[in-house]
Amino acid sequence: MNTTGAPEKLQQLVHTIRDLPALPEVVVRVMRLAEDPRSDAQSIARVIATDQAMAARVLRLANSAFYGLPRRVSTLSEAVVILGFRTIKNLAIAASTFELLNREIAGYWLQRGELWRHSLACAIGAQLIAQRVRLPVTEEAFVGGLLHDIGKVAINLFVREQFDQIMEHALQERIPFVEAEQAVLGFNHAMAGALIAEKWNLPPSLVSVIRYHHQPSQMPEADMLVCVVHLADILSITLGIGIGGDGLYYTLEEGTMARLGLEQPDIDTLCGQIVDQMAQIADLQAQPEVVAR
Amino acid sequence: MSSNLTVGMGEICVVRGAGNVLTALGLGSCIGVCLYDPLARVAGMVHVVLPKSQADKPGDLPGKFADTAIPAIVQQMVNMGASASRLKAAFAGGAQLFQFGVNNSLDVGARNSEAVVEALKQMGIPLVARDVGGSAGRTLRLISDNGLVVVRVIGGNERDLAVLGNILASSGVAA
Repeated sequence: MNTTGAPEKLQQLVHTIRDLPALPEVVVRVMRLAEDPRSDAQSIARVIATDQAMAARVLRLANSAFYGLPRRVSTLSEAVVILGFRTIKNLAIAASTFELLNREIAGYWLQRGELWRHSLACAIGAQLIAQRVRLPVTEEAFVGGLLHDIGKVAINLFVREQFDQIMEHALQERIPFVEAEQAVLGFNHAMAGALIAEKWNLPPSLVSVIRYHHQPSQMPEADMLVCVVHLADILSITLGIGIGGDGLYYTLEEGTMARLGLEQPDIDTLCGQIVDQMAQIADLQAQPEVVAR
Repeated sequence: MSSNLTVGMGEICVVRGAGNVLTALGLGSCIGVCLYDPLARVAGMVHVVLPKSQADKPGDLPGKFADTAIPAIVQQMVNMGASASRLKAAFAGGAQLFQFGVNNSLDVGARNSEAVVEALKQMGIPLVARDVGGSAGRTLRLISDNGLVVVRVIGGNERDLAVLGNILASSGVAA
């Protein structure tokens, strides 16, 4: 196996990440406002409305069957009041990362839209698991699930060049794809994702979720949120939602189920729920509708 | 009228006549089951997600579970003019997480595969071919002209799995 050139690649990766778009200012402001107890619905709605494309997507998501609103909401402030600050913050993050996650990721043989579908399924799965194990941070689980694979966008070109080598190494050594990625390239998509999350100034808990989503046990301190997103990712992969050439060449870390207090029947139930809820969430790939403030 | 139809998770799709292509994309542990009546030229595909339906959730799509999916698709095909006794089947999917000595508890793919075999047996439908297991994602196509079933591993080449319309297609091969 050829790992020479790894330091140069790492340098290139840092440049690639530097060139990725920043998290839009609108989202940063919404995130800040959502955490501020003095904020009101109007002020959050006003900030979102400054970005028309995002506003349209937030409203479209809010009106999905997924959120089960009793009637259609047509204004952002109404959506904020009914869904709450934290859910609106999630919708803003989802709407703002859509373009990035909706790209074709050729290195992983992912057609346009597939990484977005996978991310959404993982977000939904993480929220469901967090609810099931009574973890009080269901909203953070959603965002962690949504962003867990963001690093694939950054290392796409490196993987494309050496996909066959990575796969061969995984099969030969009988290790998961992410570990083969690390061995061949000198870094993996989880590490790259954490660098992006840091660049975006996301909270440290989310940076950890992204960095350790394939290896929760590597964390200095055990973290349930990381286990939740790990399992959600593995379930979405198993179900084949947005999988690429790396397919199911991943593994569920031993002890995850026990740590979460889950058993086989829970897995079937969760898989069924993820599929149902994916069918209910709005399709952002369709043309955005015109939105009333 | 010819068409290209994508069969989503838990969905059943049945067509009659030549010129139609049914496709299940990104099969992981899920299974795409193809059924074909060569005489009536009725073709059907179902995208099975889980092995067994839950009695306490009556609102579920019948195509979601192997035990309800097979009877439901056969009924739809019969309604379209197929004869249950002429149907032949092939399926693909049922992939598993990568195993390397750890006893993984997520064996959804293997259980799905067993449940589909069992459901077909119960309906007396011969299984001509299957492509299951492994850790790669698959795409499955059924061509309505002759019941050709094509499998492609994501990132790999397409290969013909079976021709369900071939009257000489051996039944009950299923290695």
